[in-house]
Amino acid sequence: MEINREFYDGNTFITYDGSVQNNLILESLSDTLYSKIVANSEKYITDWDKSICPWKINYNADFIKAHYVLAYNVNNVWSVATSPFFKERKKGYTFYLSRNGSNCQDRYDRNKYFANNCAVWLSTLTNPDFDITDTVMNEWTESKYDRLNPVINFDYSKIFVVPTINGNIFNPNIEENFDPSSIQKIGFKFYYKNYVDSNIEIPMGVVSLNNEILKPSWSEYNTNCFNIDGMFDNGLFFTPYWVKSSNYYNLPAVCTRQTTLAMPYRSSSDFITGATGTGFYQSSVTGESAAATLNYFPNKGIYIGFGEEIFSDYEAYYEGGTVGNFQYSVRRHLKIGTTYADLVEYLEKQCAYLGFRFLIDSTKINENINSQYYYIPEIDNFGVTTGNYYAANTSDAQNLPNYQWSDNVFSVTPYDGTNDEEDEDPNDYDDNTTVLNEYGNRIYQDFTQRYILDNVTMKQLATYLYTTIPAELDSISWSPKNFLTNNPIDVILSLQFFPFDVRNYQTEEVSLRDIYLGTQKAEINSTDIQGYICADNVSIIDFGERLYYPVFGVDDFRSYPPYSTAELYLPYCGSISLDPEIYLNHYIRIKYIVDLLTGSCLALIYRDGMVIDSVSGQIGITVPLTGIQTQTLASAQSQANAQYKTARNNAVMKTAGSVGAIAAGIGSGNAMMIGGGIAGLSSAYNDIQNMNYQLQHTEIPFKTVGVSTSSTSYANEQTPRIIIKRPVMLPTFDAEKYGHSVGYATLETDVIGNYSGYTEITGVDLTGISATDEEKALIKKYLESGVYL
Amino acid sequence: MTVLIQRTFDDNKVVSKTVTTIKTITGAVPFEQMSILHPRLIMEYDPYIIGGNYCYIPDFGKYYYMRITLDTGKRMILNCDVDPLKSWDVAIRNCTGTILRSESVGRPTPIHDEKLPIDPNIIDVKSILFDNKLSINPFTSWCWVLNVLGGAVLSGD
Repeated sequence: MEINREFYDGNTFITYDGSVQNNLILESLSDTLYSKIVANSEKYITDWDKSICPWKINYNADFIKAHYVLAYNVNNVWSVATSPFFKERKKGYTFYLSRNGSNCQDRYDRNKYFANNCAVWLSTLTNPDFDITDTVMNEWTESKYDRLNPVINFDYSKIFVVPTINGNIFNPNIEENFDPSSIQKIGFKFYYKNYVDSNIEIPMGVVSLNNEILKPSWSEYNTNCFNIDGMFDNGLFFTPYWVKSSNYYNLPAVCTRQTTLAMPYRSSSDFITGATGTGFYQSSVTGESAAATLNYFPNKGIYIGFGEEIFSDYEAYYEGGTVGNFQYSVRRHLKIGTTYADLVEYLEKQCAYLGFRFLIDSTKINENINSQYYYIPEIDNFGVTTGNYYAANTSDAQNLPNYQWSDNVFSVTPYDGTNDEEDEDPNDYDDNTTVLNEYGNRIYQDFTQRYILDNVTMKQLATYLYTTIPAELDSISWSPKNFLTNNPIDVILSLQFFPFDVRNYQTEEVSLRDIYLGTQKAEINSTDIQGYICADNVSIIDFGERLYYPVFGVDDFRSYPPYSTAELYLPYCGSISLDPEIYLNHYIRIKYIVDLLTGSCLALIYRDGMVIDSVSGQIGITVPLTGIQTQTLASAQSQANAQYKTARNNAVMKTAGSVGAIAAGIGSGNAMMIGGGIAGLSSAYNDIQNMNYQLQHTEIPFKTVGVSTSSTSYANEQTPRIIIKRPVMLPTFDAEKYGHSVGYATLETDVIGNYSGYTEITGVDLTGISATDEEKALIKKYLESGVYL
Repeated sequence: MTVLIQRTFDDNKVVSKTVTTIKTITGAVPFEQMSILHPRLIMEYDPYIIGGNYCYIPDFGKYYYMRITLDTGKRMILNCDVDPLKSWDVAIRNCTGTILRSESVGRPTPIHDEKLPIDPNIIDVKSILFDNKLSINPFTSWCWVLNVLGGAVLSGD
């Protein structure tokens, strides 16, 4: 899900795709206001990304038909905020979307409409103190800014509703310890402080539509609450439309109740009055009663149920209620003319606006949540609920971004493509991060020493080896005494050239020290020869990372082999193929681990944080110091070449035999012979490959200046490079015409009516159509050959 | 028998064809014993229906492709073949099937599409260099490593 947006840079403001805004014009905030917003919000939000998005909305239409559900992530906590309550506003009003939905204006003006705002938090973290200190207020707003991100992980078990008016009046706390095995209501607790001012709105959510009966709102509206001190465990209930009474305003509502609401109604003419009981808005009714409840299932959704379908063919009214032990004067009733069907639709709409998955038929509660009994609310790409909803088994539902928000609380678990046996996967998967051995660069050896030299030092060392030492060799005992060998040069294990300044790839700062060979300090004319002491056995070179960008998209077959391929050139290691299936749309990072003793290297290829592939190579160029070394090297080289030639000869012989075997097999119809012949070919091919491998890997440890692979690599490019090959469409290709002509390949089993335009369908189930056999055959034939829907 | 003589410009593959009723006739009778799916009706000559290529017969509740022929008595014979797509369009849309190709998906999908006109001769090759490179001046850099025996103890490391 993507939201078009730009970060406010101080001069220009966000750009928003206005197509769904319905005449809402987003403009920049004033610098003064913006700075206050930032200053105030930083108290709560510490982990911002670039999607910070302060909004100012100028309402410039005759009527607003939109609301906004904004979600964002703070400290790994997903939160949702709704927009201000838009209700038939006239032109010229201005709103600010709140930061976390907590601070927008929701005081009501008796002569005007009010804008309220709220947040639904999905967290167990302590909530910020809703301290409204922003002094920049106008008639309508106390502004904060919002951080827009799509909701991607909706954890229903942690949902609770935050009252947001008047800052510190309420101290919301989280309802925890839901029992997933039992039906529960959406729970939240209000810790009311001892004194609660009058005229308090507890907005729980807002939305606005242009149809009166479909004006759903999450708003709760308490009035005249005094000295309430206690905790209320409340379920979330929906009441139907509230009508204006007295000096209060008509608000569609979601009511909170301590117990299941007995929905008041009247059978035909008798009004129901005299609400009693405790909790919010609990009422008693005369006559038949029915529960209109929205029971909450953690991780599951909402279930709408009625005790009995008593509203059928009747109008329903609701009047009166109590708050705690205090009477309040709000009178409300269902809109005259509301039928049971209206009510059900209304409640369904409420669920859809709230973004909850729900079911209507309580007997289907144990059905698969992706079955037709469950409904999924439509949430557009901007995170806005629309009030529409679809049966979960339809493609409309499955195409919704929130389709995956469900999980498996009930026994019936949707097949997710994994092993559906009861055995649980015993593996404890890590976070896909490769951690190198922190001590891997240190192997302490007191028998050896490694010095980092430059050209000057190396020349001095050569002079020492070939002038100073020979002068001392007149004494027979001198060499064994100092070097434990008759040949002083044997104490030199290797001399390697590396294509980087080795000092820069040491984990500790290195310093110059005298060079010792055996027990002899190397010096020329009484001048010590010095080199840097290696702190590490290995050096690690990080070449950085690059994104393997999916030009065609990750859901396009052209992005994958054989159409698209990728190779990775690694200096000193050669080139390898990269699997687009693994690396596409991921960052590729290259690191080399270099062995400073042997000159070998290991290139690590990361996908994001984890090493997927590794390639070995030889980065150090070994300089032969004695004729014996060179002779040994030449011998090994010669032997490897001889083995290679032998293998090639064998391969030719095997291949010839295989061809003969195949010919004989075909002639005789003997499948076994054909198979054997192919196996022979395969065997011969493998032999060549094996010997190629052997040869290459025989050569690698014996690099010499002038002929080694390392030396030629040194002359080659010194930077890793990704080479990507992609297909090209014919110049005449027209996507729209192509789609209309032959359609795009799909493989989806779905209701045919969910598609349009050119469509080819197979395996169609015509059950339920009373057509004749001939007609059904014709229909299938047409559908298989392609039709225009 | 009542027949709504119609005209459609849609391809036969269109499920919900757009039709225009030219004339409603009531005097058509079966030309012979006929199938409901392929009826042949005979009626008096009517020049106003010459342009019709489609019809709807309410008695059968079906739509038909229609060809008009004339007999020797200058009567018109309506040769009809049922159009099951239009006749059952709503029911068809409610059926479930496996969609192999679709215009409405709007773009290539993960499913291999052998019909997509990919140029067989051209491949687009792009490359991306990594940020860091191995770069030294071998004449001035400390890029040699000498491994020796014995030096560690005497040099004090």
